[in-house]
Amino acid sequence: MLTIADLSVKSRDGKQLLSNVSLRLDKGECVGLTGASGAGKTTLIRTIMGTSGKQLLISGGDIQADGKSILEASYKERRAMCGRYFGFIPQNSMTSFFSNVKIGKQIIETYRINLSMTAAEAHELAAEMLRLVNLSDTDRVMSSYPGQLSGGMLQRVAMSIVLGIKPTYLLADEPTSALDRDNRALLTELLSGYKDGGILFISHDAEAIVSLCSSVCVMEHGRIVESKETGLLFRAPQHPWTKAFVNAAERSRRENAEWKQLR
Amino acid sequence: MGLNESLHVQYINWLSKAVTGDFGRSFVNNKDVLQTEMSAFAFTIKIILLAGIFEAVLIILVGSLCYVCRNRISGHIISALCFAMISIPPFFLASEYLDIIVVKMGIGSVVGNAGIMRYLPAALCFVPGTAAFFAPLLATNITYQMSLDSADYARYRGLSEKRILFRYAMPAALISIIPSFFQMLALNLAGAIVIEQVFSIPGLGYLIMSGVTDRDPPVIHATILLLAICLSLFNISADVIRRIISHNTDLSMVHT
Amino acid sequence: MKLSKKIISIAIPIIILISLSFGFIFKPNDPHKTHILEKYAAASETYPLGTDALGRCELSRLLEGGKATIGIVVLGAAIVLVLGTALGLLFARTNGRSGVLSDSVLNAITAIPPVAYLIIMIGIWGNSIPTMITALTVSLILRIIKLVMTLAEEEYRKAYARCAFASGASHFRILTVHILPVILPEIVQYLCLSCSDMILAISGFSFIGLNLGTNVIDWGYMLSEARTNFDMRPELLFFPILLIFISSLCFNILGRLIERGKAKC
Repeated sequence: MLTIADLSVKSRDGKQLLSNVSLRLDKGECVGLTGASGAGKTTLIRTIMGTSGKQLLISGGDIQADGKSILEASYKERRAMCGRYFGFIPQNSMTSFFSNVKIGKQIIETYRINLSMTAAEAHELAAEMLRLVNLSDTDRVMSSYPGQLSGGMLQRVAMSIVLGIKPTYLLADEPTSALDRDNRALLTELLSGYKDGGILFISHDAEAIVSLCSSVCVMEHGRIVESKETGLLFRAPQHPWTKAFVNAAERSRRENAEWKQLR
Repeated sequence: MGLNESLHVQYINWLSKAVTGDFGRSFVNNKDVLQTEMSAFAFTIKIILLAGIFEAVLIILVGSLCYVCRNRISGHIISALCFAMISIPPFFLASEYLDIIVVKMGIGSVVGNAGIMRYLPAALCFVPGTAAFFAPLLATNITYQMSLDSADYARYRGLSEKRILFRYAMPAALISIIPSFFQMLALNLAGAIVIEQVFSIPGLGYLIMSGVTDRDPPVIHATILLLAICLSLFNISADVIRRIISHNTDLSMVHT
Repeated sequence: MKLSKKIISIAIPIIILISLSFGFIFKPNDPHKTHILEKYAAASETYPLGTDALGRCELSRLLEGGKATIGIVVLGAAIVLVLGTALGLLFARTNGRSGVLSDSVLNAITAIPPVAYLIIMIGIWGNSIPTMITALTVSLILRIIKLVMTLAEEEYRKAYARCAFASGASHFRILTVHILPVILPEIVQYLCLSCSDMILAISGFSFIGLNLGTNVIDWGYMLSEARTNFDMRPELLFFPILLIFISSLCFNILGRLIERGKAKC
């Protein structure tokens, strides 16, 4: 179980980024996290990963993973947790890979480091996982440079990496933002079938949240302003932002239904 | 000698001969100019290449040091030292080397060194200034590369800091300074003229100097032509490298 | 508080440079006059920094040397700044067309480092103050023209220039009123860094004996004189090199400050 209790985070120049954030994530569970841009969702994930050193200063609260406080762990131990223990799907897949190295090499490198595999095993796993995310021309994808693939393809590559490693906690930062309808459905399906660990799912995609998450937290200005079981939240939103979000989702759902009827 | 011809005729005569490698004979010692130039060129290019090797090594070492210490006081001290070092002229280092180390302490000798020792001190005079210019630049580039989304994502994928630095950030940062490094070598070539004079190495600079003082036009003209050719070669190689690099990054920028 | 700190950090190098270049007005003695009996005199009231091998006042020579060294560099840079910026703006292609031929010619010429121009011109005419200023101006002006053209064309493509054009401003007005202030810091920064290099280059040439003329004192020449008498008075070597270092450093600092100011905008 991943527990975040009363977490407050400041930036290096003293700006309050997160205040009193509390959150619980069980293994096999998926918790949604939504809110306007700049509300602190990505900051929360960066704090959990703990790689940004002195840029994020923790001014209060605690993060516990399986009963142990990870904030007390050394920087080295925190870095060792990345990958196997905390998996991550980036928001801007276009800029997330090294532009001068082929995709295949970067996937294989990741597998070899995290799963201590031989190159051949890693290559096989990479191909298998790429097929899983609907990138069936695996040779072409793996021999491409990141700039030669679209944002949606790269997002699926990032997804495939995480599926191969099977981390205990999966932190997904808007994993469906660059995907088309079909692939979004595929990804939601893959994530809902992910039972190896807990998923923290950041998204603005109401449909995906409804079908994936058991509960949802809404963030604004670095605080969690509403935290409820998913069905309840969509039935009776309290906070103004949540109300607007639910209304917009409802309208979009109706429009989609009308569109389907027309077709 | 055709000195009665009008200027442009003389120029065309000189140029057409120069193309075939005939620069005439020196007014002073009646030696074939091309031969003199070639032996002088060999000296100068050795100094430049030797300096280039030392500079490259020192840039990587000091640049990495600057990056590692970037948030500490020692890092600030190193970059301040580098900044000051740029303003110390190479010819001063050269004369100090001769006056203090060679004459006072009796290590090495002013002339008559054989083999690499003949060029090494002259080459080393360029190294501090150039390295001091490029090392902080390299450190800035590495810092930038290490702060990119791609480096962050690599950390999240479990790659170690060392691996990200040496496999990805350092090569990218180095590639970005290579073109200006080659231009710097061309600058060193021009600066070598002063240094050679201090060390009495019979390179291109020495030839220009003696040409000017002895009023020996064939030597001056040939040396300037040779110098210009060398400079453009360095600049062309800098350009070619830049093209190759930008071609590769262009390739990775294309969206399909 | 912050603003005053900024002003001080810019003012200090400028004041140092001005006092080094105009210090000759306050020189205590005739820098050329020799006093054979008083050679290598220690610092005294008449000779604040002592005298050199021919009994000439060291301080006066240092101040006089500053006039030549910094004077040439600043004069050259000023000519380049005015002429180069004007020509660069004049030649900037605002119609979006690009001339491959003129571009490559300009690229080829500006690729040669300025020091090389100095060598070539000194090689042809011998070293003197007019040669030095000409060589410096010629070598830098082409680079500045290229820089101004590139920057101006870049700015011209931006939205604000187009808005100004759409609201009826003439090309001339856009270039001088809107674009020039934006690109000026970059030009001055480039010139500052060039000045620093030039001080080192000019000193270097007169150090190896290509001095600026028979009766002209400059720091490089003083350095070469002091070197021949290195054993007697090593501090005579120290003064000119210190001034060369300081003046070059001041230009470098100015360049760095402008760069930082630009980054903050």
